[in-house]
Amino acid sequence: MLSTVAQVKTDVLIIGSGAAGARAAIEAAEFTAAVTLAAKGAPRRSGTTNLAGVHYAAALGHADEDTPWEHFHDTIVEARWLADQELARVMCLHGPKSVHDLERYGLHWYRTPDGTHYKQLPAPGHSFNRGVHYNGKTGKMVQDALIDEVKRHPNIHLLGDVFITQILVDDSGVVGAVGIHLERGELLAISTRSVVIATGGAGMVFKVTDMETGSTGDGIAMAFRAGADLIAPEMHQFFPTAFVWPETLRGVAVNSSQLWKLGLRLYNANDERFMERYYPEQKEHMPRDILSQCIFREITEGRGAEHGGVWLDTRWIEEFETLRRDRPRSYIWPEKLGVNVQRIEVAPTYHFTLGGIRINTEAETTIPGLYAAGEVVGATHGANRLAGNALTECLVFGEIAGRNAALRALSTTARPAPEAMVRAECQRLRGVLPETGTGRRPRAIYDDLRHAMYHNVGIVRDGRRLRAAVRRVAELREEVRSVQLTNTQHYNVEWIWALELDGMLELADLFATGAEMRTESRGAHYREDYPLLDNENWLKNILVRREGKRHVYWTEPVTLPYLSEVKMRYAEPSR
Amino acid sequence: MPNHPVSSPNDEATIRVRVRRFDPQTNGQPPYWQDFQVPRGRVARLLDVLQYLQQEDPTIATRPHFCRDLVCNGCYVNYNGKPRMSCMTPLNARVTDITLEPLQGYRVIRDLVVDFLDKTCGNSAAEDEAGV
Ligand SMILES: Cc1cc2nc3c(=O)[nH]c(=O)nc-3n(C[C@H](O)[C@H](O)[C@H](O)COP(=O)(O)OP(=O)(O)OC[C@H]3O[C@@H](n4cnc5c(N)ncnc54)[C@H](O)[C@@H]3O)c2cc1C
Ligand code: FES
Repeated sequence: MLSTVAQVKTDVLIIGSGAAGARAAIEAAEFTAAVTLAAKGAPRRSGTTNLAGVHYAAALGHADEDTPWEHFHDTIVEARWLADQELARVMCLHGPKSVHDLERYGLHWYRTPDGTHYKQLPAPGHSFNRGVHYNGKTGKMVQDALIDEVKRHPNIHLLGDVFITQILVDDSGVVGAVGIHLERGELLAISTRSVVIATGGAGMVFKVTDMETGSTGDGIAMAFRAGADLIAPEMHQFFPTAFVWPETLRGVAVNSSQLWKLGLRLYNANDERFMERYYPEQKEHMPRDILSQCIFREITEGRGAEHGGVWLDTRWIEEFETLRRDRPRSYIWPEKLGVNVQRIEVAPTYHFTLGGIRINTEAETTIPGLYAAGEVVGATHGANRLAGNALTECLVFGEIAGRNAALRALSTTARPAPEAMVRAECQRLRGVLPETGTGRRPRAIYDDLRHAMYHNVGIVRDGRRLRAAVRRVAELREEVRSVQLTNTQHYNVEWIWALELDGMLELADLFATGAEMRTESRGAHYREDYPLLDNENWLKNILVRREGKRHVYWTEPVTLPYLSEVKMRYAEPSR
Repeated sequence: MPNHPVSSPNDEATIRVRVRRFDPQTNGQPPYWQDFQVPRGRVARLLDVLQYLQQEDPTIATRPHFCRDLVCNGCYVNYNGKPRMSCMTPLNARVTDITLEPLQGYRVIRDLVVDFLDKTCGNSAAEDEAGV
């Protein structure tokens, strides 16, 4: 297994070719001739970026009085004051430029009928119409425009099907990385002084998700292993409405920002419009976290429908027929699989990884030479993310990370990836991909982990179940050492699963432990045993770092440099 | 429209799936066909068949990363000789035999996995033909 090692030399290594990674590559390539953009999947076709439905949030101020400051204000308030204000501010200030960048790369945004302005849509939580868009295909158009630009750039070496497994770090910071060339089954020793992690979120750690199936959080786990700080490991956003049936669609989001605006209604199995009970005034007009919790409660308290969901009713919406024809992928295609789009059975699905790698406004992690951008980063959105802010974050911090990574590479002396470190990683990989394991296959353990995390560390949490999750994860970690693998060297899918599982198990432990530490409820984090928001004790972030074999957790108060008067926009659900 | 399952509830029924297997890096071993019986109740669309096969026989290579939602274009295979987006191909009760080959027009990595960065012939219209 992995008996040959090929050497790769590059100024900048970017891991992940989604929105954040591709943007970083384009920027780095403006400064240096040797940029490597590597993805474990097929570039353009892998990652969650393609799935982004509609909104790209940017305060262009074209059609109304919107400003980046208003955008920042909404972001912080909806984040339940837990966001890093410095990161959120940069995201909002640079948002408009990133819209123009994408246009330069070839994305022709929808415009107003006279063609003078970009068309901007409203979305829950945004005080202005802020969502630039390309109908239901925004994410795909963003991904395509970026990869087209990457391909035009002679300085970018695009590598598909390369799974990066480790970042090599010594006292001076990053000195290289190790990956596996999946087709050849060969180890790559990568010499580089600058690495950008842009590997996206970790939705696959949970059983039900709407994310791409490669969203296994590899980059967060890699940064952690390398010794970088992680922030907000307990924060995970669920999207309130996703198909529960048929099985093949379970977890796929029913794209509903538009439906919200037009007045969708939610009913439980007793035909009760239950949101009236929780919020008599706003009813369904509540942010994602609160809706998810209310729906989940209906289901767990026995008022769920046939397949464990609630009913999303579109029959009340006059314009539904127009919307349906406008968005065939969302509302006509599912009919072919037997869904009745007038009454869709839905439940929450894991949607966005709010926690992740800690960076500053220069996209620097706590390790010199290691940068991160996109969903892999934590704290930009605090305890709840607004629609459309994810893509903006990717483009804005992708640009910053790419530039700084290139500048660092140009101002440090290149040297070969230290052989001893490459050998040590080779040794570690032999443990992750054992040749003679006789235990269960990786996919079975992977499925068990996802099940345990969804049920114990999901939308509604309590201390007992969180501790049970930590124990279960430890058992699975033990079990995974003797995992049984098929022995082909060439594009071995079980290797991919085993490598992903290794990182997922690492993260699952951090997610559950972080959730147990936060003894309050805020945004996406809801504790049944601590149902109330607690600003006195918990306007803080949880951080974790690895020191040797130990995991060191600590908290840091949120700083409030720009908006300091903490006021909540919503009352929490009457629990 | 009523909420009813598309495929037959009869769990005994199966679909016969022929898969073209090939590892270009293994000298001398020519491509061959392998047959599988896939329980109809487990698969509503072609994408489910790919996942089922991958789990039943982990020696097969299919791409494990996809969106499930008609936007990534990563799930293309040749289905009964024609390029098809597998997540957009429902399997109704009339489907009893399926032939799967790697997507035409790209270099084969192994079995059903192709290198999307390496087009082998001008026929990259393969995907356009599939109507996407
Ligand atoms: C259904 C859905 C709808 C959404 N709608 C919106 C929306 O309307 N607006 C919005 O702003 N956001 C939306 N989002 C969120 C947004 O799509 C994501 O947050 C964003 O696209 C993440 O981009 P990224 O570049 O960080 O990561 P990704 O696009 O996920 O890319 C990750 C990349 O890393 C690679 N990779 C991963 N691990 C490794 C490894 N070990 N080695 C090498 N490569 C690796 C992958 O192959 C991939 O290329 C939506 C998300 C979902 C799921
Ligand atoms: S799974 Fe993404 S297009 Fe089919």
